Amino acid sequence: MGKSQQCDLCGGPATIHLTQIIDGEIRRTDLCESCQAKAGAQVPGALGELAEAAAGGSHEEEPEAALGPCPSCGCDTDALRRTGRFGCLDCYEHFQPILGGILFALQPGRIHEGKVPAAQLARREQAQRGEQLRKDLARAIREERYEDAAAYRDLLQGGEPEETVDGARS
Amino acid sequence: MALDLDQLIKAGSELTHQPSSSVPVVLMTRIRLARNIAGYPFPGFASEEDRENVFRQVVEAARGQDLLGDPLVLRIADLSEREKRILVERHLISRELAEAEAGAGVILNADQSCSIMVNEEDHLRMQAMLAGFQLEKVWKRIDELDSGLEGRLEYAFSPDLGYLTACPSNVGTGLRASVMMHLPGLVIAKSMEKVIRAVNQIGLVVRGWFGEGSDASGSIFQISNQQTLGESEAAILKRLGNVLKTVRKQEENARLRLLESDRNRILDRIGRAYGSLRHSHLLSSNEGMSVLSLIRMGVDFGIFPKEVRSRVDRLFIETQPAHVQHLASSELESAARDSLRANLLREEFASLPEPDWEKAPS
Repeated sequence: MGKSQQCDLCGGPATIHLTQIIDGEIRRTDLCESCQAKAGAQVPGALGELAEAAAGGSHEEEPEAALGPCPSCGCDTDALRRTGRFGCLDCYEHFQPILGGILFALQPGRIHEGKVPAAQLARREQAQRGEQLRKDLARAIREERYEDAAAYRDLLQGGEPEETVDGARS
Repeated sequence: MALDLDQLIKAGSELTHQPSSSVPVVLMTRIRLARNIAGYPFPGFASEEDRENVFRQVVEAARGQDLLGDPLVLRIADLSEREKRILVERHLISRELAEAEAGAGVILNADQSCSIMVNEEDHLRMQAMLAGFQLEKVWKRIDELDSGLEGRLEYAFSPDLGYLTACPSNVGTGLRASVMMHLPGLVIAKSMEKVIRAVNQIGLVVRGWFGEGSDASGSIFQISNQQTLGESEAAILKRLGNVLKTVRKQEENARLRLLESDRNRILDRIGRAYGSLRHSHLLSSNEGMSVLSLIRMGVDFGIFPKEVRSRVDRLFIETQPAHVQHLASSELESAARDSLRANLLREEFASLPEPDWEKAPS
């Protein structure tokens, strides 16, 4: 802890030095004024945790190997340490080995309990159903089951088939 | 679309022109939701082109949302420094957004009670705010806007982790609810530190008037939830609401105790604030805040008429540096700003009646 302290976020000269005691552990954070303004009170805890986890630091269960950058966006542990932020949604997958520790430090739970984008999920489900119907339709045509094919086509066009596909066969 | 500052400031905005919702102790309630659009990196890692695409998509989705009406769409790159600072002072954009560039912007409704920041830390940071203590009502509004936008946007969402955000401290609900509280009684009684510690212990955060990193001038504090994963929105809001009610009670008690044990000291402060307001010729931004803060407490005591409270609330915002700067046509030194601020307050309170000391509860 020399005099030439650098901002933990941007590397510029740090003018704000925070010492926090969290769970009996002393955490030091050095920030420049603008990063402090941006990042605020919650970052030291979050950031410390991220940096520690990313560096495979003092945690008991160390990640087996250092994690490379996220293949989708290029975000790496260095960037994580600097900004405390992920680069894209795939980072949640990529940094999975350390994510648990981060969430544990920041959040009371690990599983989302709140609102669900219902319309979006319904849209997605419908898209998946459409995809399946298209496959079924192609197969029915290939196998020359034309009645089934017609029923699949009706379903795809949003109408109810005159008879259900299964019903037609029974 | 160009920003007309005069219009923005004079418009009947929720925080500055709602006399009926101005109540003791609680200034305003605000809820923001962080959302991202699937298929694009988060703003910090997105290319200019991606950010522009996100901006266009969000603006398109925002049009036709009931809550936004015919919104004002502003790009940060088109705004002057002063315009950005005024938007920050009105709690409409964050300092982080003010410094962002490509694709960064804000979408505002007419009464400024609802806004969407685009390409800040996340693709969308939407917020709703109302004067007074209104967690449920504000949640209803922002929930409706969020659902409306979701009809047109594909959010980054995982069934396990909820809404995915750039910083894992927001993942899950992406919700931060903040209530701005006016706590001069606890400050004067030197009990604020204790309150902050207690509030922190249950996972809530206390910040100053301008959010993260700002000081608590005017004895105004923002109390908000910190955690977003593992608890439903309703549970978060309920917990926060309960704590805030306790803090409000504590503030009320602190004021009564002060009136009982230290009556002259507290009335003296209010009297001096009245003197400053009516007769100062130089007032710094901090002094302005603390004078206004004491007058507000005086209104709560009944020493000044009730109508004064919403005027105080408006002036909390309109005496901030960029707002005062806007009153002058040229760039001002801070001493000139202090003089302009004092003039403004003298004029605004020229007809403020003499304090009615008998009204203070005993």
